[in-house]
Amino acid sequence: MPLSDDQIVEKIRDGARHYYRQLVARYKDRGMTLALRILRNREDAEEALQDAFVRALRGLDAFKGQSKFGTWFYRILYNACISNLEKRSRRTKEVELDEDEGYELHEMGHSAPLSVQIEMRDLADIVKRTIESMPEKYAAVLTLFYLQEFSHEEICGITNLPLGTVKTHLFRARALLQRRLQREVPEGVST
Amino acid sequence: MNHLSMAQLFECADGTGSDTVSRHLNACEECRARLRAVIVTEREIRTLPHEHPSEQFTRRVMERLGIKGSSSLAWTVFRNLGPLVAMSAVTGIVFVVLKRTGVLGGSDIGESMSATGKLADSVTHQLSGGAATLSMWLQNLLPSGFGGSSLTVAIFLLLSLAAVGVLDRFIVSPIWRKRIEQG
Repeated sequence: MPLSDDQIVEKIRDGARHYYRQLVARYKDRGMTLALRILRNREDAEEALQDAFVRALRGLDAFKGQSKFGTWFYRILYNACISNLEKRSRRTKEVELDEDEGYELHEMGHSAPLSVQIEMRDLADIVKRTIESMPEKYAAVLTLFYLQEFSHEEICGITNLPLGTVKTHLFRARALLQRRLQREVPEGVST
Repeated sequence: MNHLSMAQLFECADGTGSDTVSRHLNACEECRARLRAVIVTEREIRTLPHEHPSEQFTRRVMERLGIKGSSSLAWTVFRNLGPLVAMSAVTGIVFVVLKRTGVLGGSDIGESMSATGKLADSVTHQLSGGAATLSMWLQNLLPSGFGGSSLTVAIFLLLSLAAVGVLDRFIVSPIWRKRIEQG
C-alpha cells in the first residue's frame, strides 16, 4: 500500500531523506502543469518546479501539517513561478477582459445553432491553447480548480489572494474560455 | 425573454443554480444548449493530460538536495555484515589474549571456549570440504589446465560476486527504486 504524504514526511523527518523521491514522483507532473500554465515556457517551468522541490525539503520543518502537503507544496511552487515571472519582468500579451466588455453570452452571439459536433480531440486542443493564451493569473486559478481539484479556499491559501479575487479570476477564466470557444467553434460545442 | 447570464450558467454547471434558473432552462432550448457547451468544455479541462518534466528531473532534484539513492542491495548486505565481522574479530582477539596470558586456564569459561574451538574446527573442516567439491566441479567443467587450482576457485568466486553486483546494480536496484517511487 502506498505511503500517504504525511507518512513520507514523517520518514523524511526521521532521517530517511531518500523517501523524498516518492513525493517528487507524486507531484512533479501536476506541478509541471501548473508551472507551465503560469510561465508558458518549459525550461522556466522546470526550473521553478525544481526550485520548489528544493525549497520544500529545506523548509520541511516549517510544514506543521495544518494543511495538506500538496497545498503547502503548491504554495511554494506558485511563489516560485511568480518570482520567476517577476524576475523575467516579462509583460505578457494579455487579452485582459475589460469590465465593460462583459461576459454575457448574448454579446457573444449565443444564438448559434448547436448543429455541428466537433471532434473531442479538437476541443481538447482548443481548450489547451486557450488556457495557454489566457492571462497567467486566470490560467493558474483555472488549473488549480479543475486539474488539481482544489477548493476556492485552498486556492486562496496557495495564491495568497482574497476569496473574492479567486472567484473573480475563476469566473473570468471560465468566461474567457467560453468566449474563445464560441469564436473558434461558432457552430457550437456538443457531445 | 432574457437569457441566462454566464454567471447563472456557471452556477448551474456547478450544481448551485436556483429554481428560477432551472425553470428558465426547462423552457429555453437555447440556454440548455449553452449550458451543455459549458459542461462539455469544463469536463474537457478536467481530463486534459498533465505535463511532464524531463526524464532526468527527479535525479537532478535529488542531486541538488545532495540525497543519494538508497544503497544497492549488495552494499546493504555487506554493510550490515560489516559490524558482525568486526565484532567477531574483536572477540577473537580478546579470546587469544586471554588464553595466552593464562587467564582462561582451568576455568569454566576455558572449557566452553574449548568447545567453541572444536566447533570452529568442525566449521573449517566443512568449508574445506565445500571448497574441495567446488574445485572438483570446476575441474570437470573447465578445460584441463584451468580447473582445480585454488587460484581458479578464487577467480570463480570473484567473478560470481561481480555477477551478483552487476545484477544488483542494473536489474534489482532499478526495480527496487521504481517501486519506491511508485510508493
